[in-house]
Amino acid sequence: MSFLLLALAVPLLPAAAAVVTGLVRGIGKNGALSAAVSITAACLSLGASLWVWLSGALPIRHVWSWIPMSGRTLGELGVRLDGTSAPMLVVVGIVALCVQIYSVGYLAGEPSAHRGRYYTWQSLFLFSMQGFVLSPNLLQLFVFYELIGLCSYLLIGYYHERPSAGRAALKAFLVTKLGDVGFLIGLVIAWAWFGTFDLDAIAVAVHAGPLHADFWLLPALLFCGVASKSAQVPLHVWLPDAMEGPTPVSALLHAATMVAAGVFLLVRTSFLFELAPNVSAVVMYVGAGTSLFAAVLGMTQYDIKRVLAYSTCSQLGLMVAAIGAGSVAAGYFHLVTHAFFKALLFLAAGSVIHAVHTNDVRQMGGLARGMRATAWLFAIGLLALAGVPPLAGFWSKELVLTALSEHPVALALGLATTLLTAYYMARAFLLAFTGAPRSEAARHPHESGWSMLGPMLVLGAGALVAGFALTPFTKLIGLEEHFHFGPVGAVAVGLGLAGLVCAWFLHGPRREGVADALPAPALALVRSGAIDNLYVIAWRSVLLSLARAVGWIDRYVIDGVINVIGYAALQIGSALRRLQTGFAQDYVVALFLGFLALAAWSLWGS
Amino acid sequence: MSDLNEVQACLLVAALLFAIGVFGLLTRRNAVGILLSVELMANAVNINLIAFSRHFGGPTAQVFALFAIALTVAEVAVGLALVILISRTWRTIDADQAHDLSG
Repeated sequence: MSFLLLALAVPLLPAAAAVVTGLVRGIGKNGALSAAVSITAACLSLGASLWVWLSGALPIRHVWSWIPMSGRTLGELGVRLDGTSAPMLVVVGIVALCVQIYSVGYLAGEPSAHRGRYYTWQSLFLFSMQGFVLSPNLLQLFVFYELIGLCSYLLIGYYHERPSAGRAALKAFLVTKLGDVGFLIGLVIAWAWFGTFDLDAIAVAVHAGPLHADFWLLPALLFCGVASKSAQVPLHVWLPDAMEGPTPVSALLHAATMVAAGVFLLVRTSFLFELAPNVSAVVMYVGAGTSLFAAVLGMTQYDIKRVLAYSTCSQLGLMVAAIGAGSVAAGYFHLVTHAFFKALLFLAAGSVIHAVHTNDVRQMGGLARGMRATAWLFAIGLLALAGVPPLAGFWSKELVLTALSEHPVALALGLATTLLTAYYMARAFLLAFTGAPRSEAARHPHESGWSMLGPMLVLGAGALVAGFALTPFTKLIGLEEHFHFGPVGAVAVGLGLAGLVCAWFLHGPRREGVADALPAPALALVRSGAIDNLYVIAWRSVLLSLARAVGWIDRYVIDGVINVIGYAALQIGSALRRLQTGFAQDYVVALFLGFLALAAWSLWGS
Repeated sequence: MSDLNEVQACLLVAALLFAIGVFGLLTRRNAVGILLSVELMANAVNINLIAFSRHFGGPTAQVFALFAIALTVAEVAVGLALVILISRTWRTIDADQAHDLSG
């Protein structure tokens, strides 16, 4: 029971912090106090999750009835802390804590009340994510999934005075909702088929009985939700725009919360995908396609955060592809290692942006001289992402590519992604940190303070060593996955190094200016945002014409009926009002005539 | 038991009185005249009550008549009060001038 309380404390402490900073005005208006409350809660929450995990109390499972229904419960709330959720819980806790501490330095120049608001939402976000990870059933997963969407909307729109931030927040919210509609329909179908939302009960049911003829619908609909949150093509369009939020928020969104939620959902429901091979194949190809597509887009960006955003998108594609190919452990492990080095990269990029006040790598250059620690940490993150042994990304990427090795097309896409990832990350690094300064701000960069460097060091250590946790990790989640360095791995490492070398020759310190690897027409095509335009066209042609049709029906059919009724009542009334003459004696005449009629009827009638 | 013709005569008088009342009610323009006509109709009813009381015996109908007289007094009091208000509002007691409620 005490461990159950401890497990409950993991999401509820940040929730309490959110309530306190959100509702107590004295704290919420004070940025430093809010930060203290929020960080303390995050710290205790992380401590609680580590304590439960390390004391060997796993698995913990407890559910409470939430929405009672005659005879059984429609909805349950609960805690399910097992080998699958424990690592995610800890990773989310670490990244969120690092991000919150980092934000103290990063947002120091912001108004105090704004920082209070920021920490309220950070705590709410942590609560949502931990609640999501601990969910034992689909309904609770969905509720927290939506909360995560809400929190990311709030945080992306943190700079609410910027119209572009508001638009980006709304875009993220709407695009992810698009996929969540699929998730919701899946929920209803699951209830109709199994009569329960509980994942364990559904697992028992699908493994015991004959499957429904249209069983593939359920995983396919769940994948809609995954694809929108985890930014799979074509629902990835919100992710680059989400860079409008503060950089620590991007780190949180892209490493441990928003996009990770989708992959985690895939991990939790992977038993459904295993039973629908066709859907799994689609999942794999969508993931692999996303990874290469986003990598190509990443090559063309000059905004350092957008490079990282597309790289996130691309890495998510790899995770999804691995799970689609049947290797849950590979996708999940890549999610965990990626959380460390991507959070590190974002925080390092934030450190750079904090120093030079621009996102544009064309305005940077030569920053390594002034920001040695940031440069080293960025390099660690970059090498980990490029899959250089023995950093974290190497192990997980090998696992992913091994998982794809039986599917030649997906494998080719994955390997191409490896090459491009190494190239564009090194390009961003070389353009930002080496060569000659290309702007006045870049000439005199200042290193960030310890509140920012400290969290980066922690994540850097994670990016260095997380890969070695592979064997305990697979044992913990209960899926044996043996790492063996085969020809695929050798090719991947070779391609990664080749990408780094290409970047060196194209953008190395001795090169003048900023060159592009792709020819100009290709660049123009990629930068034009073709997919965004497709959405706009679809919006204009389909949705607006549908809206016009519905509007016409409303205006002329429904309103028409109402107007006719009103007009008829008006006409009848104005005809009848002539009966009311206002002369009392007319009424008396009517009275007597009525009396006479009644008398006549009673005498001669009937 | 009285003679039936006696009762018939009374009823005839009462009917005439009632008809006069109705005629006055429908034709008078003066509000006080209308009230008087209503009084005539009410007293026609009272005559009926007394006549039947005499025909069937027993005090019940007479009690009814007494109550009716008392109620008529009250009604006249209200009616005259209305007439006073009408005269104050429209500076006339012509019932046809008070037709603001016409539709």
